[in-house]
Amino acid sequence: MALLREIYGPGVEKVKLEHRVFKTPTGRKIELTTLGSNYHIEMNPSDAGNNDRYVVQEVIKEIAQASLVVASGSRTAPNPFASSSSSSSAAATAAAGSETKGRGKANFKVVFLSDCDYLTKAAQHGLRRTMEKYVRNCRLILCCENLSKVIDPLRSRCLPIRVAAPSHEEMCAVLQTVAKRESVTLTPSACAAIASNSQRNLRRALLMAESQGVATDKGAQLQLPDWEVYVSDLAKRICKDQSPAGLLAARTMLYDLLGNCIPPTVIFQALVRALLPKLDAELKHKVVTCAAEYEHRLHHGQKDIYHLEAFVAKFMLLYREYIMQNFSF
Amino acid sequence: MTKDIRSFFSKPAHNPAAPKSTSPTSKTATSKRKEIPSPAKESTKKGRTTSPRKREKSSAKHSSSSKKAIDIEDLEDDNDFEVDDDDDDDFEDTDDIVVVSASKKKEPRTRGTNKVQAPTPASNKRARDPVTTKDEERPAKKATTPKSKAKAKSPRKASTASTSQAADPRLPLANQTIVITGELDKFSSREEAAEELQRLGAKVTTSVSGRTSYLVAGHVLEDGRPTSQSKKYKTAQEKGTTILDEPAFLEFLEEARAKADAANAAHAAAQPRAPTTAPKAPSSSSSSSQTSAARWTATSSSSSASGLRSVDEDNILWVDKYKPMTVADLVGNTKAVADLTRWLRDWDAVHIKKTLQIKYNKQNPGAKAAILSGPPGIGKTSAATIVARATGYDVIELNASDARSKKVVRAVVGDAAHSASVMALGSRSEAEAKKKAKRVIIMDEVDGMSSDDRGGNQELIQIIKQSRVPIICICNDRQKNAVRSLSNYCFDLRFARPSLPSLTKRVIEIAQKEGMDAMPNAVERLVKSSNGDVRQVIGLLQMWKATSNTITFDDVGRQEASLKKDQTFALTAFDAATFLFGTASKPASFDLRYNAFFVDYDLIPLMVAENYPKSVGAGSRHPPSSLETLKQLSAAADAYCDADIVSQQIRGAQQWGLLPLSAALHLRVANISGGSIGFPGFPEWLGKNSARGKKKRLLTETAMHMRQKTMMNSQTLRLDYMDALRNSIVRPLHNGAPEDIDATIESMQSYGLSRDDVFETMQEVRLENADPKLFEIPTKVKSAFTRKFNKLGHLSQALVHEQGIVGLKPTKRKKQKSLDASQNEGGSQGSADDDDDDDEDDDDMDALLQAGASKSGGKRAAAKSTSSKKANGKQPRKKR
Repeated sequence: MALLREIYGPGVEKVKLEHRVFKTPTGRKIELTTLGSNYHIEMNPSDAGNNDRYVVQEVIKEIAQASLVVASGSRTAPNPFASSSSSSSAAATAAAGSETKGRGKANFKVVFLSDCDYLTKAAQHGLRRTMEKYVRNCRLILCCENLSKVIDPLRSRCLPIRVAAPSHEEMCAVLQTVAKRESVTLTPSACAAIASNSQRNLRRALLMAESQGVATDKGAQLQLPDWEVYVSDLAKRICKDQSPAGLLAARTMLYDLLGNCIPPTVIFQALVRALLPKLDAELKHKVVTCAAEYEHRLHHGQKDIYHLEAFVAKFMLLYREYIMQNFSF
Repeated sequence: MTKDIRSFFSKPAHNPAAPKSTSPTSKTATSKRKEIPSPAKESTKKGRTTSPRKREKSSAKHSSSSKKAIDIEDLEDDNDFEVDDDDDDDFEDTDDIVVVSASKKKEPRTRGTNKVQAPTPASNKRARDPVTTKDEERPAKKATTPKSKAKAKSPRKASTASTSQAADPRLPLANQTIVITGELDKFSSREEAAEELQRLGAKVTTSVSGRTSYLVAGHVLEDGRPTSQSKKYKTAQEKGTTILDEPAFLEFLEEARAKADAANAAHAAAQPRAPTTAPKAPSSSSSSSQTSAARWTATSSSSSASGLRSVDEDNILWVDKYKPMTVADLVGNTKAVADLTRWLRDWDAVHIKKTLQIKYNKQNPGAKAAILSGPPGIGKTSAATIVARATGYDVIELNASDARSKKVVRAVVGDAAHSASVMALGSRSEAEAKKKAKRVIIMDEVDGMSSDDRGGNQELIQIIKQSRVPIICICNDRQKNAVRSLSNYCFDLRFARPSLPSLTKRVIEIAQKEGMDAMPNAVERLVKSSNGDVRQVIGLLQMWKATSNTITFDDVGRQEASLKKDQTFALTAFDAATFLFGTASKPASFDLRYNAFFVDYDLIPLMVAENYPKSVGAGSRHPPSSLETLKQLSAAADAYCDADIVSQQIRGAQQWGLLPLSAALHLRVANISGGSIGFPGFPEWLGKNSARGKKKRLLTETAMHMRQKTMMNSQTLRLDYMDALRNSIVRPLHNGAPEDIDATIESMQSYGLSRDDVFETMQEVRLENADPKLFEIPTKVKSAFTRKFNKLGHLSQALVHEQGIVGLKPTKRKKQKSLDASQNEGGSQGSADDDDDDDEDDDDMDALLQAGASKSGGKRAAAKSTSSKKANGKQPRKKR
């Protein structure tokens, strides 16, 4: 936003939601909501799921072509496309801001695509040509969490800007600032706890701090997000019972998590995080290795649940093996 | 080796429970037997043609005990396709209808020839078989049983027996019941031995009872115990059944085979003579060697006597040619047919004249319509038509080949149902003229009322309610939703598959009429493989006729492979999944399991995934948490992941060529897990996945509402915001004070949330560990909240709505505003107008709310009000 204000002035603050409905060649109707001002448009094509290819091909092209009418200047800005890999989209834009020049005079529209690492491969390929062809009229800002999921041809067309997650100290500083402004007292220890439990995700940290403030029993214990609590329950359970029946119980819990739209990757991470403290060093290495492997396979598979389940089964085996070796059960 | 696929799904019963026959009887019979040399000549006890010799024989029968007659009856039931209350009815029923005239006449002569050509097995055996002591009396006893049966049952029944299981000299073991236990060295499996016995005409059962002729005992049982410990062996000893060890059995078999060969040779020798004998009389027709001309005389002469019609057209389907014409012609389902007849007969009295009241029971016999349900090919439509005709109704039939939309049903059926008959005007006979105004509507294949026939079933129910004529509905699948609702208004009649013996009998008759040489054991196998489908068997028979005139046991065996394949495809996904996992002791061949996968290649993978942990648990010999079991479990899970990755290639990348690989990989999962699963659980995945889809939609929607104020997508909403939102929005409501409600509404508006976002999305998207009380808000508070929100929040909602669909319906006030706005803005485009509009609206709304907050994007205000806005307010600041 800051970058855009730099370029276009305060007009960009006037955003509106817009629904676009279009049809795929197969006749399915897709609705996509975009957010934008006169000068920029922000969208998340991966919302369209498997049909995101059509979003990229149709909608973006349309926007890119039409924007010429609005901005009728002829000067082409030398600004390159920016692709940022970061954990926070806001930060990405901020970083890109330093690159800008020519305040208020730009004659191009900015298309901001969030979560571009969640685009299917087909959609990413669809983007390749669009990016270059409409360079006169629009600039693309792609934002993603994981650069490795963006295909090479796209990466080579972008200026990569890496935005690192804030350090614990930085986070504590931010939290304290916020607390002061909201006139809430936040002890340094609570601050550190929040920082370490939010995986350096500033948004999560702020929201956690806020929950903390609202929750009636202040300071008693740091309230983790519900899903994280649930995952650690699951971890406890699979450490307790390793058997086919235990696997089925774990399956039920995994279904619950997935059913509540917790992304499988997040489940993997949280599960391993919850498991590791319970394990000896020797086992840690193995578990992390196979978690990585199963997570990789998950992306190539169809049904998330069974890959998670296979990981749980594997973990049960490793854990049992280790216990039997070392404690001679 | 031919294993019936069904054998995997059912375990053999091990409880013999039939009365034991007394050996004194056998002995008397033995002595009498000597006077009558032919072995299983059972019983051709039919009045007119009985020869003096035969009378002698029938007198001999009188000495047999009636107890044995019961044995025989049980025996016949043994082979029924399904256990059914009215098995016995079936049997009797078929007795009534059997058409025997042609074969009756043939019988004596055949026997005469045979006697000369083939030595009787029983007497031979006695002479040659020194191995087993009891051997002698057993065959003798068996030979007499048909007679005893003839005695116990009506004479008619006796004639039936002669037609169906007439002792063909080529089947020396006919009427022998044999049980096998233990492992036989010479045969790779019991099934193989059983097949060998069946080829020679014997009946092979799985448990020993009083009527078992022999128990063949291998030296050791499958599980390694000596045979003498087996239950069968013990029962056999108790009952005094002859026990053959393997050498004795082989010898026995050899002997029977020799006899069969001799008889076959004789039969073959008889063939060339046939043309000369044929013209003589239809009586020679049983040898099936007659010319087709003679055959036609034979069949047409018999047709008048029997109820069966044969149409003089060569190219008509046999199914139509031998269509049952009278109630008595129907095979099986006597009770259902009788019920239907009664229902139809009384219909007028019950529903029109109201002179008769019928008590309600589960079957609902007083209904205005009847519904016949049952598997295909067993004569439901035929039964309905025949019964209708027999009770003097005209038939209007509508089936799946007719369009049956609501409109059509109303037009055709409705008219017919409400008006009097016109069709009967041209009635042919006086009897019919009497009944003229009567007719019945047969709605065939009602379960096939598909999407095109939408509303057809509902309309049908309406029509049934108002109808003035009886309606008979026919369907296969009684459990379908549409049919179930229909059946509430119907007299529920279920048709079962006819019993094996009665159907076999009928098929043999038809074969004989067509001049085919059908061995009873071969026909039985054919009937078995079609699973009681009369139509299919007759069709198969006709196909057969095209290539060959004789049907032998082995021929059918060869065909069975292809029949079995069809059977695999007829399985449901549940059966297939069970089959796929199989049992540890008896895995099916790869091919069969591979085929089972293709029963439904969408559902089976899910079934496999759903059930493999169960299978591992059941299949492992180790305790559930042993290392071995866990290894197996993990291996199976990994194997499934491999299969899943292939599935993704198939679906995602449209690599359908990989489907066979996918099938094999899924088999691998089943193979690794290795245990049988009992009844497979239905894949949870389907339900869970759709629940996930729904929640995802809700989240995306909510995220969309919030997006204007915060930078987010549905994922961050779920992971990060959810808890905070619940706390700041839902919690205050618990107190129920007005200012808390205000606080909630304020937070919601600062986020741009609607009421649904809170009470649908937030309530819906929750894990099991969530505080169940969170959404238990007192009704009073909730309604207070709703009132307040609707009053104040209306603007906010309208805002959301408008943002959703741009310029949907600007109110007058708004139009004014947008005019102003465009003037202010000076030349900006339409979209900009709306923008400003929204912005001003914001201010407007805020003023109304008097919250003194959320001006232009809610940033400045955030700090002042509830802490829920902190994050919201801070976020943009952070960005900079």
